[in-house]
Amino acid sequence: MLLATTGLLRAFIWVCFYLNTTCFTNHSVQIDPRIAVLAIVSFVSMFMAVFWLLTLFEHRKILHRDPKPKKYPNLSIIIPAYNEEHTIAQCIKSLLKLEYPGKIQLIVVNDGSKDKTLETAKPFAKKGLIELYDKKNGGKASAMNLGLKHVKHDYVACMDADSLVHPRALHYMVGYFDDANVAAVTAALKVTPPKNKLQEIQWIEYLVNILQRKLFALLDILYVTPGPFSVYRTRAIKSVGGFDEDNLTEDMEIALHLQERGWRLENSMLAEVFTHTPMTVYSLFNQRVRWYRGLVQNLRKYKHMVFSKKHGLLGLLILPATIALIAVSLVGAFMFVQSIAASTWGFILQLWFMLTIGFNWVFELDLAWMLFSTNLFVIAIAVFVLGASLIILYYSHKYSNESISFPKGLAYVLFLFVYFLLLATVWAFSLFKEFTGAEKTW
Amino acid sequence: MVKKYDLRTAVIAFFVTLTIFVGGFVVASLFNDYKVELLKQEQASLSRDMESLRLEETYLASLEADRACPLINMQLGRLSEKLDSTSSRLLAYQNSREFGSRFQELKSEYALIQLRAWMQVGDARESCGTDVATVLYFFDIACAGCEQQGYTLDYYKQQLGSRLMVFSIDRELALPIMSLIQEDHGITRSPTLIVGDVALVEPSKEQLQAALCSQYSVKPEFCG
Repeated sequence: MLLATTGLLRAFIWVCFYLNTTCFTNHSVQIDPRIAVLAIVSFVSMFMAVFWLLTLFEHRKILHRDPKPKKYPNLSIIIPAYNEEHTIAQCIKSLLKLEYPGKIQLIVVNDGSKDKTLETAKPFAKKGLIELYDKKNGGKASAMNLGLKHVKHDYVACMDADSLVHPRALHYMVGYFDDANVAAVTAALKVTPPKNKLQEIQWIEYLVNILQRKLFALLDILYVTPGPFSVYRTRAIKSVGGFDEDNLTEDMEIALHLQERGWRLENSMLAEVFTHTPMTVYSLFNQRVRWYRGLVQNLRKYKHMVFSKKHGLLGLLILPATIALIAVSLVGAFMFVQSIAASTWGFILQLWFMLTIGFNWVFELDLAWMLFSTNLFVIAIAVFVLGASLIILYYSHKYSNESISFPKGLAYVLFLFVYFLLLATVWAFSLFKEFTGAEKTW
Repeated sequence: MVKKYDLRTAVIAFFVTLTIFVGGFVVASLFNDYKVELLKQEQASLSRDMESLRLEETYLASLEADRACPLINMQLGRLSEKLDSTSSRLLAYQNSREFGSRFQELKSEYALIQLRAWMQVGDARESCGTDVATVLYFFDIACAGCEQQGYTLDYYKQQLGSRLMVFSIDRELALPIMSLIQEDHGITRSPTLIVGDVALVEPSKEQLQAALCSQYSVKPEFCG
């Protein structure tokens, strides 16, 4: 959402430049409906950007301040695995290296894998390092629910089989459970070293999400406990009946369910977990369609929380804003594409005509002309938007203990100015699939 | 259980956003005023030049033609440059779509200046044999062929430089003098060009070239 707000603003700026219009200073002519939409989009988006910046500055000194636990409780970790023969061993090894004073029960649930996941995990079971269960394929949630039945401790973590956890991650997380109202603690999700531009873009995106998740936790509006690694209070998770097996994003469903019941969800920025990201646009697209469709599915399931005072800022601000941002991101992207297409077509026509008449096209830098063509309001918003985006990027890096990577320069540009288009396309596709009742696939 | 929440940050964010927007309006409006003022100044300067030219003509009429005409031609060259620069500013202003009553006033004023200049250049052609072609170009914003006609005119302007003076008039301006000229030349649609004394409706590049060539005593290279 943090990025969506600034992304939308950038879309707005682009459309404004392409329309070459003042947007807000029409006096006598009829206001173009596109301009009115842009004004609303920009206001909503800018409001969200300002809101996040204010929240960030208000809390920036406590972002890394995780509470020390009174004691280190014993805990269980469930690893659901489906076709993870290449990653499961590494995942288990990373858990075995956890530097944690309490006892840890490791539960691996093979969800009917068609590859050698089960065989790869068996040696660990034989050595008594893990408990291994095998079941028919039924989806990640069903695997976790099976694991839940075997949990022995008061706290349970769920971990994706393709993720790796930092040895000290649990140290930072368990202290939050001293507050009896806390049901779950989420970690800082980072990605494994990127191998191409698409993964570099996601590397940046994940850093921004780390900051976002922390800010959400501070405002008690977290509505996802990410699958790669989250720790739950066993009692809380069992009180809501475990994970919803008919949900595309069970990690969001469980979070909303816990929020609905009045539990708090926390986050530690220091507890690092590393996950793999899609390497191709196709696989990224599919992943995001599942996520976004899951979001829509959950918004429909928990629609009674939207505008509900009972659920605090989550109900009053974030869920409505999420719905608004879905709408405006689609509208913004559509207008952006339409403006680009129209401008490009116009430009091609002009160029063609100029070439046919033999026009000697000389570019003349006319400062006076530039002065008259310049729309100061749009420039001012552009500066604000870029400034806000850069501040968010800077703090995302700073609080994730990463430095701005200059070799990833192109990825930053693509992330800032192009990525939102891909995500808007995903949104359109996800909504289409959800509302046409297309088959759900994990 | 009802969750505690604090709307303070949201309220502050709302007012900050509102301030940015209102600030944007104010800045845009101030900048707009500045642009209008600049255009007004340019047009006032043009009007003064026109007035001065008229006085100079009266004065020069008392002189021998061989002494007066070089001075008139020099003045016309200067006027042509100024008209072009004001035109490009008006065009840029129009492109920024900051339409409004002030823009209409500026445009009408500019149209009148152009028409006066067009007539004066015509007079100079007759009295001094000034070898400058004039094109009075009637267009309107919604006209389909006007953009291409504009490029064709730009092309010849590039080729001929100060030997071609183009006066562009928006047909949507309701000025009595414009109605008179349009009726006189039977102009009913855009784009129409008056080259010398001939009205051409959406001429092709070749038609325009032929019409322009007929205007010069010393033919430009492309006239063959």
